Amino acid sequence: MILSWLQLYLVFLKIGFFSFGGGYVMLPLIHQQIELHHLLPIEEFPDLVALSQMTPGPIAINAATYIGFRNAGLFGALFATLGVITPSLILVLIILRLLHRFSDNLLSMAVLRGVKPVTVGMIAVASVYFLERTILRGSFWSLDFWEMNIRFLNYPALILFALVIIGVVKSKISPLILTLLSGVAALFLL
Amino acid sequence: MLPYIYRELVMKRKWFNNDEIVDIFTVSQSIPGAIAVNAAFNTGFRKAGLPGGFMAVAGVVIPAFLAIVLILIFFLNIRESIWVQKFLAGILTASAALILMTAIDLAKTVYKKEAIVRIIISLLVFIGIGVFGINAMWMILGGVLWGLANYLYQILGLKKGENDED
Repeated sequence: MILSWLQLYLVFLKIGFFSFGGGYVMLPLIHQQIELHHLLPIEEFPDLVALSQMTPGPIAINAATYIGFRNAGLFGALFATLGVITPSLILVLIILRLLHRFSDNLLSMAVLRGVKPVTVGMIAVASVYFLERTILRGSFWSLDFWEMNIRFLNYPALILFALVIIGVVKSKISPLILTLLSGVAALFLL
Repeated sequence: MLPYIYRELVMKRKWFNNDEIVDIFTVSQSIPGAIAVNAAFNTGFRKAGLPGGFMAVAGVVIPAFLAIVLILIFFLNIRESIWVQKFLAGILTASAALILMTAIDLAKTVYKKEAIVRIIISLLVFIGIGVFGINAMWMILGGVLWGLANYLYQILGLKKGENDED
């Protein structure tokens, strides 16, 4: 038991330290760690993300709690969550002690500028992953998909997808409400 | 999340002024870790030291923790239901839309001017992870080293410094 708590702590410690840019950028990191350490049946990953979207709090916490709980119950969830927040605590302390103004610091700004293009690549991977599992019927990475794309779209899901985009851009409804509405609409549409 | 912090701590309680909160937000979005946790610890620590920091983080983490644990306890029992699966599929479709929009917004900020090198880096990362399954941590490490290299170029005067706008 204690060993798996420690393992969960360490896996999420690693995830935390590499999670530049927060939020969705973390998803490829988490997915890869799940596969590497067999933390979940990988088909469960979309469920994990869906549930995280419905609950308050950062995805990092939701994912850590979920995976920790699935592996080792309440204490697993606790240790995983502690793991993912530790880097925040350490780095904020270091920065508060050492730097006067973060934005004036050449080194930190330079590192940030180096990492940003990488985060764009990562969130693009996350985008494709979820498009594949919602509105596309095939794998984005396979040649078949590009040859026959009309047949490869899930049209009911595409309608929902478009409605959500319109909702975000054109209305003041919060993304959370739109997400929940989409869930309800799916009961009839999908 | 950050607008809520602004409203509560700067407008309502006046714990920080604009300058301070901007720096806090920049740090929170730049360092690794969940942005909300970074911001909570930063503000809590500044306001009331280590205990303050911990309390603030607890405030952010505990609701999320409890919510997921409670949902999981129910979810694992009802997961087989077709209605639950449809509902989750709907949630996921909305998430796919949100993630795509976030990606586009992020790209807009990162690829401002003279962005060809950055676009190439993003493409390499995209293909590296998507096609070859390279561990994303190597990519992040690469980005950090690239940033460090640029910093050294600047320091050694080999390259004019870039301004913060890009």
